[in-house]
Amino acid sequence: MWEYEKMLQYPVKIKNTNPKLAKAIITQYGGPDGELSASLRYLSQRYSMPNDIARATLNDIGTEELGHFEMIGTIVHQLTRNLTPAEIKKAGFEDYYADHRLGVYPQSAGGTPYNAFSIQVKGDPLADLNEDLAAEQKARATYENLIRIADDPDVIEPLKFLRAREIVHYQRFGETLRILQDQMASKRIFEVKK
Amino acid sequence: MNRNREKLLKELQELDFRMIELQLFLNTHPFEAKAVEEYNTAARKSKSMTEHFEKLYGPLKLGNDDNTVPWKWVNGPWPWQSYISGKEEVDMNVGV
Repeated sequence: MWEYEKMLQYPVKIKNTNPKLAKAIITQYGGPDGELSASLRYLSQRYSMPNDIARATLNDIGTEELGHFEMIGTIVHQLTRNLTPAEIKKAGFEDYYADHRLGVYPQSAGGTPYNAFSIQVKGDPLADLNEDLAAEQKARATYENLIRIADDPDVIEPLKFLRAREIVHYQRFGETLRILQDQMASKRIFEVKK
Repeated sequence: MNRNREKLLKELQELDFRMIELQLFLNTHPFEAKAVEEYNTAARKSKSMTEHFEKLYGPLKLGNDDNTVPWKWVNGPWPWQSYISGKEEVDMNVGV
């Protein structure tokens, strides 16, 4: 189960709204390489992991990603709060506004609703861990795209934090994969029968 | 802006981050004694600082046995409202 802690993992305090930027950043909320995808992927893959290190790593990184999902939701909320109709029209935010007003909906930057087709649970530990390594790289690349188009330090700082987390997770998944491969290699030797 | 609340919360976030980072590291390096020790130190500090924070500003987590009337858990600011502080009136907030 989970317990809620009434704080963000890293502070998000955005002074100025920017609905256009919010529409790009929302892709890390409900887009293909976003935090919801990450969390669902790892928390669903953990069941078929064959050792405790892999189970723990997927469980704990999947949990941290839920905290990142909350950070991105907060960024989108703070970039769009209290917008006036004039500001909405000026930023080209009418399409989003029509369906969601100023709510935070899991969708990609292009407006596609969250879709579990963006993740896989293969039930094969090697396939799943390799997907996880790729997922962390794709998320890192997405954060770099967002940092490049953001011009507000209040937004860039939390994005930089999240980018750095992708790199750490990649590292931990790599170690998990190596440990598993070593186990499988040594097991295969023991199983050879004369 | 409640400066002291912000400052304490940031210190707590730093400690909690330290713990998460060490937790993930230790999952794949379970024999790193120094990291275990660092984890314990951070956890100790986080525990006492959380108690201090909650005495001043209300619960961050439920499960304590010192709740009082009225129930404080619902009180903001909630984490996504970090632009709001203290008793500022928020939209249709009818909180106590």
